[in-house]
Amino acid sequence: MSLLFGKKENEVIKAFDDHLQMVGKVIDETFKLIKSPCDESCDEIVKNVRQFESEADSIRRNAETMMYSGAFLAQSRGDMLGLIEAVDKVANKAETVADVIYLQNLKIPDSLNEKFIKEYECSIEAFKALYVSVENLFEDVEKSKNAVLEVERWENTGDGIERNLIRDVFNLNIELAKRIQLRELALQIGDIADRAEDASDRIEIVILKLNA
Amino acid sequence: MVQILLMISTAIFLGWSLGYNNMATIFGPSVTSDILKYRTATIIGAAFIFAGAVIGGNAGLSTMSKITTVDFKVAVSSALGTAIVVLIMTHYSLPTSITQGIVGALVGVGLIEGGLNWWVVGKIALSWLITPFGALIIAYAAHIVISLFYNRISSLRIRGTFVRLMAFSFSIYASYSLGANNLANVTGPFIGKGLFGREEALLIGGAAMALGFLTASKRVIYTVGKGITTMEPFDSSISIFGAGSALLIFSLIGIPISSAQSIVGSTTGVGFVKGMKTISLRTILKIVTGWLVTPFVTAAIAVIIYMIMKLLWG
Repeated sequence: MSLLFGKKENEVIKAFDDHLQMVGKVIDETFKLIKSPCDESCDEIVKNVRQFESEADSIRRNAETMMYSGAFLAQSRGDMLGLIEAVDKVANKAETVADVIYLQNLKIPDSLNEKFIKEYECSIEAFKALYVSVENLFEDVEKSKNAVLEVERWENTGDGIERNLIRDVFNLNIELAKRIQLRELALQIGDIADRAEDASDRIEIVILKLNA
Repeated sequence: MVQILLMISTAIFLGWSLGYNNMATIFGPSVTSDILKYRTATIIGAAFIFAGAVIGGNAGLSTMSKITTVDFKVAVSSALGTAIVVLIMTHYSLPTSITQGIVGALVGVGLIEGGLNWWVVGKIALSWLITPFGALIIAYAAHIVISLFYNRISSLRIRGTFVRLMAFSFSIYASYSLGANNLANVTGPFIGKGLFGREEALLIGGAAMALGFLTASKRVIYTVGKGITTMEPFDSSISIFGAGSALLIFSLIGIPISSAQSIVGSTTGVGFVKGMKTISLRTILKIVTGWLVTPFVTAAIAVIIYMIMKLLWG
């Protein structure tokens, strides 16, 4: 009977929420590396990023196991698995950003710091909208649909900032290697919002398939 | 004693194959969508097909026993002939219908022995023409009405529960309707002087069909279920509802109809709403050919068995 009334679904929905929170933690923790220059605290921040990302992975794996054991109708299971994996990729990208800064010992020039922060904030907002969209997918499809549009909006804004930033990077009078490093960072930060958008595209498909 | 055993075993054989063949159609979508576990589905289905046979199967019994003058030889030869044909056609994955088989067999033997009631035969033949269209209309209307309500549910979680409950309850409903309608095919020919009493017919037929449900193979359920569930669970549930309703309506007026015809009709009805091709023209031709061939083949086999029995029992 639990198969009938969706007890397993409730557990998976809870796992989705836990997973989103953990992905949010990865993103927030990485943001600290952009806001202030790398010092001794960097080791601790990067350690946290790795730990949160790994926890997000294990929550995702648990959710997948629950889904394979019978949560959701078999036909919609693929969509749900695809969604949680797409959300997980957002965390992976935030971890990559942390790696770019930490492993390459990258220093953001003061003149560009504000812009990098702005770009990252767009990615944070895109993820927040994704969070709302996933959260509401199970309870209020209309709200979820609106949040999908919001993700798209933030991704577009981020794209604009990213392009300007890359232009500014190449106008700076610094070594080419450093310019390439900074361009790489701008691209990776932009990818966080891109991946949030990819996940929201999956939500759009789930919603489109809903109507009888 | 031999005659009674032969009657019972033939009826059970036919009832079992009816249940076995229909279990996958009715519960396939629920099992493949993980709404019900295979074993739970077989047990629940068996309980409801038995209940349908015992509670609602009486009306159809009279119709079947009135096709021709039945006696032991007519009853056994018709039922055995049908069971053999259905088994062979199912083995080769050819579409067939037990209802058409048994009616064809009774008409075949009736033509040899005389006493054929053409009025009843005509009534049944007409119902065969009406069945697919009736199921189609019911499924079409049900889809439109239920969708109006379903599309207003904004929660994915509640929608999931709704579809699960719908698939579960429509499968039960169709099991009950199948029992009520198709019992007549299993034990209807055995009702008469020196044959089964009504209560015996209800119980033996119901138990045999339930046994068919209980022993239905998991592999077949998945194969058939996956074929049906190329549709979404919402659509396949409505198609099962349409078929179940056609079966129930005809059981109330005492005419046994084909579950296969009902499900094809209702699936097409759902297809019309969705504007999609649920069944290709080629498939329909294959199914219709199967339906047309079945009564003639069963009639021929039943007549052969009848002749052999006549030699043995005089």
